[in-house]
Amino acid sequence: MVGDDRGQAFALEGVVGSIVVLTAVVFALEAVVLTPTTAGTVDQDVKAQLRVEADDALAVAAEDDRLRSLALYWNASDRTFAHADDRVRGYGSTPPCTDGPPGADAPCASVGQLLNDTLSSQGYEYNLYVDYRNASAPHRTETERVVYRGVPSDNAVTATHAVVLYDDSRLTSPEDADEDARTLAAVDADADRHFYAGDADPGPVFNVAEVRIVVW
Amino acid sequence: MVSDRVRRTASDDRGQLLLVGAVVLAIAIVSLVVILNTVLYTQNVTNRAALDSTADAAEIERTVVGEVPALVERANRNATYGSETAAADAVDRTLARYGALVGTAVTNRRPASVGVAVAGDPSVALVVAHDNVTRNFTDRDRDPEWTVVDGASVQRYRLRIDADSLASTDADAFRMTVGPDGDDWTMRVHRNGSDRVDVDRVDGGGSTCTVSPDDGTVELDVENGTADVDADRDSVGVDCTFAFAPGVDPPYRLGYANATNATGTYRLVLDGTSATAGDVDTSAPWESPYRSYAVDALAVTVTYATPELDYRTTTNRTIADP
Repeated sequence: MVGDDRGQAFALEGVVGSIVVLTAVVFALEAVVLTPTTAGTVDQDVKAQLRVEADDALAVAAEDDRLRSLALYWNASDRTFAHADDRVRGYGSTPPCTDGPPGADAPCASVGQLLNDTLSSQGYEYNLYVDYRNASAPHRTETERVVYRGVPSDNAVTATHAVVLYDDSRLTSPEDADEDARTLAAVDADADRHFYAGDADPGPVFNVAEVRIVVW
Repeated sequence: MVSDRVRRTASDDRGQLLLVGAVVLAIAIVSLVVILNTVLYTQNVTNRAALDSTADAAEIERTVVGEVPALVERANRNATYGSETAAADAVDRTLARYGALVGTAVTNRRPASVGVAVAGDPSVALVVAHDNVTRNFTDRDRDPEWTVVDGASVQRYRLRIDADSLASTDADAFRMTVGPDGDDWTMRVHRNGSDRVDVDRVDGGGSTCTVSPDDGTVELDVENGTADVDADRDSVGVDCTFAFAPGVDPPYRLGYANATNATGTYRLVLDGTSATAGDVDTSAPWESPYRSYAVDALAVTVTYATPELDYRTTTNRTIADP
């Protein structure tokens, strides 16, 4: 009799023990960690890394004045960036400052190359803008699209770099051979020719442009 | 009986052991889950904003300070100043306006304010310049032999001379003389044949630079001692180099002779403002040659403030081409 009772007790203990162990395992497996990336967004560290890459790309391009060349690569008669598709798409899917006709002078073509090497080659898309001050109301920011490839996703990161355009800065587009007619002051004074920004400063500065890249 | 009791006791112990083991295992697994959760939570809620602001502040400072020389050079050249304070004020205004433009751009993006200001008094240099390309290098009264500056030490001195305006003989050559009495070191510039120009220096030994100005302009950087003929501002080729006034200690007198035989432009920037300019224009309408002032070194304070960060730095900048 005693032996029979013990057997039941052992069985019950075994069942209770296994229930406890299984409950613990199930609890552990079910404990889903909610992180900012759970909803399918990009990890913070990946975004931070991407932001650093975008920042560095602009800093490298600014180092030898290529960003200023980009901001000045404007066709004063076509009213677009030189060789760009239009003002809405800018250069569209092609890298900015791509050469036009063979032999065309493209001082900022390497910016496009740089962005291709650092971003496009890793599968990222980007929009590139030039933000500048409104000439009559300098507190207002206006934007010109250099490259527009659509609406950025929620995971997009932004980097900017400011470049100063001076009254005596010359357009870098190959359109006008006359050196003195290419200064921003001359273009601004000529009603037939157009530059996206106006003279926002009575001194030697013409405008302050911020090259802004949005990567996703 | 005895062996039966022993067997029963051992079985009892094993059952409890299993139970205790299971409970310990369960607690261990649950603790592990909690610890791992904490790690992930900490990783994901780490505050990175302060670091971002610091990086922004540093970038703004780099951009602003990098543009200062270009701004000051333009402020120096775009106008003529009757006094040291006028030149300093003009640079002050230019930088303040520039700071306002950059500041507006930054403020529109994030809650931050940017300020750019000249710290203290900038260093100002005396300038004697001539920019009327059709007038020769004589003084205001058209005297061909005159003292341009006295008690001077040259910081930067550039001339662009129209080769056709130069004399063809040594005796009539345009001369620049430097020395305590004005003639310890002499530089003569004259034509040599139809398409070449000689730049002779007489300083005891004497040597000659011969350049061929394709476009008709001789460009002399006297202080750095280079002569070149390429007027294209994007590609400056140096044809020959020389030393400026070797053995002549400043302050010295710098004068011109046969100044009717040279037409073009020059800009002479001196160290400090203690030198005396010769017979030149010192007020409006600033006809060439004229005296002006230029800022050649300054300290710039850049401030960047956000709700979390207050960044302020002062940088000294020397203007290479004042």
